[in-house]
Amino acid sequence: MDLSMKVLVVDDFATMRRILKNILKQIGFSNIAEADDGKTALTELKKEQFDLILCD
Amino acid sequence: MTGRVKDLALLIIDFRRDLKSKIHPEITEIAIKYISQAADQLVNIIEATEKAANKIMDNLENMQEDIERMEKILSSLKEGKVVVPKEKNEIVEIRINGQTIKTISPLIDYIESSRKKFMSLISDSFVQMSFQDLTGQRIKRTMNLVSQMEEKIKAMVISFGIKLTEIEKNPDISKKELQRAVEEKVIELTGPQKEGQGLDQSGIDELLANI
Repeated sequence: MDLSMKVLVVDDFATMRRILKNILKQIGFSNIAEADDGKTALTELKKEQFDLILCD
Repeated sequence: MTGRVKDLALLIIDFRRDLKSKIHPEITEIAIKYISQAADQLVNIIEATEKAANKIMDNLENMQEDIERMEKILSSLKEGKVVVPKEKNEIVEIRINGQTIKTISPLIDYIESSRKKFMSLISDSFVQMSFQDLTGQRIKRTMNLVSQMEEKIKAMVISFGIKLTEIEKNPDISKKELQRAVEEKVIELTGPQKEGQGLDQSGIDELLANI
């Protein structure tokens, strides 16, 4: 698994985003972005390309 | 049978006579005070649990960082050179010979096994924090329900209040006229308003308090 891949975590609940980010970091991912709604996620996607999206 | 009907009629008459005093202390207080308080308390619960959850996660992350440092120390210990971090980025380097490492290897294994166990418990504690997502969602739904109830009860009390006020002003008012008066007043109090028109919340509260 390529741990340098870019991951986007989308969840409106801040605690859940933090939990997911922590688990991803423990797995070894370090390139993690987050968005609290679909609109912000789309803005992030326009800015850069992600390899993995975790979306609620 | 006649006696029971008479009792029932008297009960209704008593209730209607008492309506004003019944509405004022109970329903209006619920509408104005307690339901608003319940909504505020739910907001406080969400804020308090969120604050506590963040604090717990801060603590867990601090523990994770320390345990990660411990892993590095253990790795260096196995190689016979211990690098112990001190304050302000200082380090202490200790060299240990091969025989000593062999002697203390059961201790190193025990610490390594405990470290793994702590890391696993911390990860699990992090995952368990997701309870806040479920409780938060349910509390928000309850808050919406409470807000809807508040609006409905307020509308009911306003309608009662207007009827009582109109009947006091004109005891001979017809049912139709009363209904029209209620509709007009309700629109004036709660309906869509342009700036500078209608009554604000204080106007509604004043009416409720004066019922």
